Formats: sequence, structure tokens, C-alpha cells
Amino acid sequence: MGVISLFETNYITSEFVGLRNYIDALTSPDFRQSIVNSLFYCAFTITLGTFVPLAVALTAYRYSNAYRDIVRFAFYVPSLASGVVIANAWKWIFDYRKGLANYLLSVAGAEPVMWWGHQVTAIGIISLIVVNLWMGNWIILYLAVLTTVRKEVIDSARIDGANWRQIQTKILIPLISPWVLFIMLMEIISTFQIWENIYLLTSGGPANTTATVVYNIYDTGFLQSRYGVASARSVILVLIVLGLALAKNRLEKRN
Amino acid sequence: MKYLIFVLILILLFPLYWMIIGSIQPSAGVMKLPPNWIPRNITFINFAYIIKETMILRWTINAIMLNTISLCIQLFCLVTAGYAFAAYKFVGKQVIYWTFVASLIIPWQGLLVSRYILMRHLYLLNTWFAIIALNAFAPISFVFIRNYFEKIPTSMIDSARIDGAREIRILFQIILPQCKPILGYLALRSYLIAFQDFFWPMLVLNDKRLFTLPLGIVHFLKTFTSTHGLLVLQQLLGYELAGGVLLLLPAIIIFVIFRKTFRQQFLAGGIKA
Repeated sequence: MGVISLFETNYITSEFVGLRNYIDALTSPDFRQSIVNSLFYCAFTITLGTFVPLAVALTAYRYSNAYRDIVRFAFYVPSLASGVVIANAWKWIFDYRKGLANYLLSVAGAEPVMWWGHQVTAIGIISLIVVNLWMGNWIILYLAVLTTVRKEVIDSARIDGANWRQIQTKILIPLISPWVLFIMLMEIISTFQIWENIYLLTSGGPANTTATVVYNIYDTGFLQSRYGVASARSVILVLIVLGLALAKNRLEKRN
Repeated sequence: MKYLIFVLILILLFPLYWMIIGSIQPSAGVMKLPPNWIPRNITFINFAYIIKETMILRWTINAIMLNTISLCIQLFCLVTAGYAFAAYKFVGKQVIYWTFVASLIIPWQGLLVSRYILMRHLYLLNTWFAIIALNAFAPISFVFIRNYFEKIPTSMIDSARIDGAREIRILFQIILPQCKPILGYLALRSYLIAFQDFFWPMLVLNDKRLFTLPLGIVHFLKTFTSTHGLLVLQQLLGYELAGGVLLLLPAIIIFVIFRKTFRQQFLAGGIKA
């Protein structure tokens, strides 16, 4: 890949161009836009994918085993259905003219929204779809960590007069925070690689505002057949993800 | 808080529910606003159309066969490699292990273009080899298996050796029976993924007869839109939802049959998909 990225190639001919593909990648507006978009996605996936499961797990932890099982199962079900399966259902729910979401808005007396036509709403919905597939795993992970707390610890805290909020903030959250960081980084890493939902739902539009880095690589490499440029962009993606992964290892070591 | 979570669950599961009820109604009923919250006039016309118009049976068999082949190769390589890591000390062991771990960190999409070009140069495009070659060597499964094998006490291997068992026999009669849970989990996971993944197959396969189920259905929906235009929006919706249900079915069947294994994984803690 490193080698290809140094050539201008379209399969039939290839010519050595040195670092031109990298310069091209770093100066091309659509690639830079895709990095910015990915960061935008991250904002959504981190809140939805890290903190919502945390809140759910902390709540479920408080209640009976049966309740925990229901929560675990209900959140796990969507991860059986992949993005391909469920993307079309979401697409129609947020359709402009015929969609359920706009219908509910009109019942409430609000103006219909072009869900797929604005960057913020489109990115928000795609993030929700992606996060939905992972949430169950994270909730299971959080609950597994939480159940390692011995009952006596919580009971003795209770006897000392701590209320549930104090138990949560002083015992449970410090315990779980390394995992929160871990999941956050996992979310960031996987966010840069969102591809299939974009392919199925927006094709990167409107005006390239919902394309992630991987979608951009697919677009340059396979739709425009600029393999050399796409390889250079892949190298940049690998470097970004490697950097994040190293940061993750650092954090794991420190904890 | 407790009830808020139920609301959240309802919202997140709603598209799934809506897809299922939508697929068994005539298309006009799905488009209606307000929608039918409970399905009416149940019909399987959407499914019938997809089954009639496409090679869906063949695609399903393709997906299963393809995955079975790559799974067999994968598990054989990984089990023997895992055994070597557990039973021997050799030079470069750590280097090899960390090479595998490092290749996990690199996103596979980043290697996409070079892999595609490699397959092209090997003249493997539009053949199953292009897919099997990739799936057969999954570093994540190797890391799983190696970590599992590490836990098997070496004294067990040593005592078998003293009793005169050959290496192959130790592997297949002593080690392997203990590895059933992890092997079963890896196998299930690979079948679930086989009914979801369509990116790489889409790039390398052209021939409709070679498609796997997810690729076939996505392809059918995309071509249906481009040949019929948007005039048939209602039918398209029905087919999209039915296609989704058809893709979901294998996963549900696998989950129901093997729910015990999944449950064990629940109890074991985190699942890394």
C-alpha cells in the first residue's frame, strides 16, 4: 500500500510521482472535509455510544436480576441485525414526504424537517444507527464490570449513610471510568470507519457533508478509480487510527 | 429512570418492529400515515417477489458454503498455531504475536485498495478465493485462541508427552476437547458476520451467481431502483423491508438455536464483535 501510494496509477499505466499523492490528499477539500465530518460523527457516537450505555447500566445495576436481563437482551437484539438490515427501515422513517418522523412532527404542529438533507440531522441519524448496533455490547460490558463490586461494599456504604447518588459517584463511577475511556476510544476508532450506512443512506451527500474518511477512500479508489490517491489517503487513515490505538494502550497501562 | 430506559428501548427497537410488520403488509399499508401500528391484511407478496425474481436460495447457500470453507481453513490454522504457541518456546514468538496484534489495530478498510490490487494481480477477482483468502486468516480469532490456549496448564501437555502421545494426538485428543467453547463462539460469530458483511464481496464479485446473501439483496434493491425509477416507490419500500427481514432471519435462527453459547458469552463479560 505504501508503494502504491507513491504512484499515479489507473491500472493500465502507473507512473512514479513521489509524494504528490500525499500532498494531493492533504490539500484536497473533500478529504479534509471527510476528516472534519468524522470528528462530527465522533461527537455523536461518543455521547450516544459511551454515556447513554453507562447511564443505562448504572440504572439497571440498581434493580433486580430479571430487569437486568431484560435490559441486556433488549439492547443486544439490534446487534444481531447488521447495518444493512436495518438501514432501510430508518431511511423510510426519516423520509421527507412519507416518513413517520415528519408525520409525528406534523401532528405536534411542527414543520417537517429534511432529515437527510442537512448535515447535522443526517450525521445524527447515521450515528444513532451505528451506535444502536454496539450499545448492547457496551451495556453488557459495563454490567459485567459493575457486578465485580462486592455486595458488602455497597451495604457498608449504605449503613454509613450514603445515598444511592453518593454510591454511584464515589464507588461505581471511579471503578468504571477506565472502561469508559476504553469504550470512548473504541467508538472514535470505529467512527472513522463508518461506511456501509453512508453507502446505503446518503452516498456521502448532500455535497459530501456526511462522508467519513473510509467512505472518501472508497469514493476516490473505486468510484473515481484513483488508486494511488486512495492508497495515500489509506496510509493517512492508518496513521490516525494507529495514533488513537497507541493512546488507548497508554491509558490502559496507566490504569 | 427505570421507565425512561423502557422508552429508550422502545425507540431503538421500533425500526426493527416496523420493518417486520411492514414487510408482511401490502405496500400501500406501509406508506399510509398514520401507519398501522398492528399489521393488517397480512400477505407475503413482497417475499414471494424477491424469491421469484432473485437467486436468493443460491445466495444463501453461497454464504453458508463460503463461510464454512474459510472457517475450516481458519480454525485449522489457528488451532495448530495456538498449540505451537502454548507448547513450545521458540525464537521470535513474541515478535509474531505482536505482529498479529499490530495488524488488528490497522483498520481493514485502510488496506482495501492494496488488497484489491493484489487480488487483481493474482487474477482472483470475481472468484471466491478472493474472499476465502481474506477470511481464512483473521488475526482477531488468533488472539482469542492464543489467549485461551495460554490458560491450559503446560503440565497437562508434558504428562501426555511422558505417556508417549505424539504431538498431533495431544492436540486433537487433549487440547481440542477443552477448546470447544471458544471454537464454537468463533464459528457462530463468523456465521453471523457472513450474513451481514457485503463490502469486500461487493468489490471483488461481479457474477451474480457467486453473490452472498447480503450482497445479493443490496444489489437487487439498487438495481430495482435504477431500472424502475422512483415511480414504484411503494413496491420498493415493501421489497426493502422484506429484504431486511430475509437478511435478519439467518441471524435470528442462529441466535435461537445457540442461545446457550451466547448466554455464556454474556456471563463471561464483554463481547468484542
